[in-house]
Amino acid sequence: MAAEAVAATGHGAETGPGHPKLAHHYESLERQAHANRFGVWVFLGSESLLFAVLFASYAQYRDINASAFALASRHLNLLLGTFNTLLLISSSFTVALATYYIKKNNKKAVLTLIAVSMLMGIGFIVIKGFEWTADFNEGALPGRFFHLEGVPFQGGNLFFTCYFLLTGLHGAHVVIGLVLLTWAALRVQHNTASASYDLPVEIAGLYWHLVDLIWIFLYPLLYLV
Amino acid sequence: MNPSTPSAEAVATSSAPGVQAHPPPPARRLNYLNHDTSVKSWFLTLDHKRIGVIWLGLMVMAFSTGGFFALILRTKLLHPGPYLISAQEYNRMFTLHGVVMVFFFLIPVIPGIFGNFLLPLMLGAKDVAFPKLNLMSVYLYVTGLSFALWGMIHGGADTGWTFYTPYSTTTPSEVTPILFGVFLSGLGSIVTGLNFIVTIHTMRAPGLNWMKLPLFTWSIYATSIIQVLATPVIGMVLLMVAFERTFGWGIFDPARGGDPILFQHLFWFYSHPAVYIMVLPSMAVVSEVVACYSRNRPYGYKVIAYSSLGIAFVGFLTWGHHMFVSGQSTFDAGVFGFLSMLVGIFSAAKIFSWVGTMYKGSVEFSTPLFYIFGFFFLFVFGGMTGVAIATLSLDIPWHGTYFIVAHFHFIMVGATLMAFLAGLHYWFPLMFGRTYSERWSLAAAIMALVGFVGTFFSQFLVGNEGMPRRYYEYAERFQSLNVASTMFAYLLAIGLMLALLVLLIALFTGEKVEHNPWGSAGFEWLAACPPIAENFEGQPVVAEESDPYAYKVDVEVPHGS
Amino acid sequence: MSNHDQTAEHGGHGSESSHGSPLQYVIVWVLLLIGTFLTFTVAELPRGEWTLPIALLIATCKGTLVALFFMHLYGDKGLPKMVLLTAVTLFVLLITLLMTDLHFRFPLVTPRGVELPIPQRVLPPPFGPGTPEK
Repeated sequence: MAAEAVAATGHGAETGPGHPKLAHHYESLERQAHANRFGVWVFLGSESLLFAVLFASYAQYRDINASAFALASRHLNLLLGTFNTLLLISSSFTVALATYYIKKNNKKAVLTLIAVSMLMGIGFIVIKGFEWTADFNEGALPGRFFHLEGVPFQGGNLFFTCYFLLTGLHGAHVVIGLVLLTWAALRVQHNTASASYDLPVEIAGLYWHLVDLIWIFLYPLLYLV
Repeated sequence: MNPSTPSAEAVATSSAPGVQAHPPPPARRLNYLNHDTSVKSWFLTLDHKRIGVIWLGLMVMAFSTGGFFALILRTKLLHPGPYLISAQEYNRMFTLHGVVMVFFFLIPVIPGIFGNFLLPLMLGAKDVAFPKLNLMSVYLYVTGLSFALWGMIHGGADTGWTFYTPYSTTTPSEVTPILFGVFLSGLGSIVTGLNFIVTIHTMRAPGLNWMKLPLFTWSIYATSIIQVLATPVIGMVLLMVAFERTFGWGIFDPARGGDPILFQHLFWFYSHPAVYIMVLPSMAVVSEVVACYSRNRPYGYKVIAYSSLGIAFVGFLTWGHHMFVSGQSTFDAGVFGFLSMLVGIFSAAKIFSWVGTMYKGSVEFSTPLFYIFGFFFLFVFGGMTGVAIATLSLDIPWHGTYFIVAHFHFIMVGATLMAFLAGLHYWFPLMFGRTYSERWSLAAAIMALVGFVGTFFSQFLVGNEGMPRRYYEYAERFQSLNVASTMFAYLLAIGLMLALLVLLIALFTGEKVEHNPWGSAGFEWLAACPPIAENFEGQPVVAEESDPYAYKVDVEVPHGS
Repeated sequence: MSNHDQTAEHGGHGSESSHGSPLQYVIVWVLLLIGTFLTFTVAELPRGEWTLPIALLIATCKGTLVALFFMHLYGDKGLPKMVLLTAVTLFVLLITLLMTDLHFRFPLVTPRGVELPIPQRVLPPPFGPGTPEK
């Protein structure tokens, strides 16, 4: 199979140790990379529809309880939220740079950039943790646990239900993104991802950008109502 | 296409050198089924053909389970009053019948079995784009089904398969495991759809452009788009219901400001396109079987191809027609009612094309074609009643009656089940290298079709008279039609069991075939029956004049001589 | 896109899409930061009802920048764009029909929440005097 692949594609020794393995059902590494990349995009489309449900619910309930939502939103920490947005945007920027440098085979730059992105991602999660703790203490909780002063129960509990669902699902995706970045970094480290096969970095990058994209919309909806 | 022929490999007996105690046994050709018979090779298989066969086994199991519940329901309905099972058990049974049949049978059946088995063969590829994901899809389904069965054993849900809130969020019955099971199975569905989309885009043989693709592929492609984009919605919604049950987050609870109609919107946003996930693959099978047994090119290839995409798109626009009486605005109801009519255009175009394919074709009657005739009848009548129900004013009296039940059984089950059986009989020689008894399979088919029509036509009548659905007890005047429906249901069950028996017997004792017993021009038949593990030897190349519907041409379908 | 033949001129180049230079990424990043800052300041606009539409508009622009440049959709072949476009179309469809339903419903079916005066948002220190509740 390997010999066939080499003969068929006219590539160099793409399938030696330390190089990505050509799967048996693909005729060329190029087609494999193309299929994998397209598969990730289809998956991203699927993920967007997952969040679409929560955005739709949020839109409906905000429409019904406009003032309660606005009051409830005041209880979120705008500074932390904005800082988190800046963190995520910057981590998206460093990841994009990483996808550039992998093509230049600059292993050190790629690993550094991925590490920086991951640090920022972890920072995001930590800050989110602080925000959530503050919410727990205040009583800004979903459903029947809601007991926040100054905000009517009727729209208030729904705001925080939507808030925790949205940020919770988003946070889970940040964690998955961190896992993917770790995987990409390991592949780069072991030379199974390089300029000739940069797919792992690209996959992790695309996923991370989606996570950023979703937060870009979450931020005004939750914090700036 | 120019595949190489599979070479026969003799299985020789071992003996002392130079001495042959017995004559060597006849050469046994290696194929995907017998080249490795270890348990591990089946449980961890990455071969799309084996995965297709695994799906077949799972689907028979799922259908039997759902069918078992249905038979109990129908038996109870022989009597208007309490009989056989309690009201609570009755509610649980119709819920489980719906859940198992919709989520665990109808949605995965044709893509899982035939999509997996045939797609790479039709495209001239060695496998799907992501074989490991393919296997993961099976295990997601199995895990999901296990959760659902666990929930069933612990009493089961009594909410109906539609899980409407606020009942589903407050009932003490075992809803959460079933929700989780459906969630996992849905995830498997997304993965399968993703796999097929990428496969069709990136793994076509050289020379195979879109307009040469078998029509089966077009419909599977449209199905996969719906699977990938609609299924996350229901996954999320069911998760939200589970959260509400478990944590008291009143997302759909009116007491906390939640809106049950929102649940219905989000639920049906998936569940209406879901019926197209069921119907489009059926149409995929129909295109192939009709062309083969008519020995004719499809009448209007582009019409059939593009109408698949049309149905997929329009299917997303119509979900509110399930909610006419729910409290939805009349504005939206009007919009959805109108949009629902549009689907009929694409469906009708396909029916015309298929019938046109048979016109002036050289029609060869056989069991698969009989099932297709069943499909035509049930799909057209079911579809027409669908257009009727989509009319707001007509739906007001019909909603929640057996008229609706009969409609969706005609169209969802009639179409999908008939197409599934047609496909199973048509591709049986390809999958297993054997043929079945035509006489007995036809007998089973006739029983199944007559049984099916009888069961649900009675339900159209009784629903039109006003008998509500999902009711344990009903008014005396509905009894005779219910009895008729149940009797025909038994006939349907017998017919289906006979069909299964015929195929099981054929599996072990049927006459072996090596190559294309139907003389079909489809690309998948260029592989041997059954195919070797690698599908073809070498990479098939599609020539300019190659055509999966090359009938009425004086060319012999190439044999592997 | 359809028929990848055996020739690979780039000697196994893994990527097929055009990629921006680091400078392009920096520009996009700065634009995103500016957009975030704008969103933040627009929150204290006197006409409260315009806050959300403007913020969403800015968010859409930011999102488009991320999709086009960070995710390499700009200059890429048509397939990923089709996927994104289809997903977005479906989302818009869902929201639109949901909102129209909400607006044209018989009012008592879904009672609206209590109308309270919405205090104007005041930015927290050091950007503003700070919110009264905190």
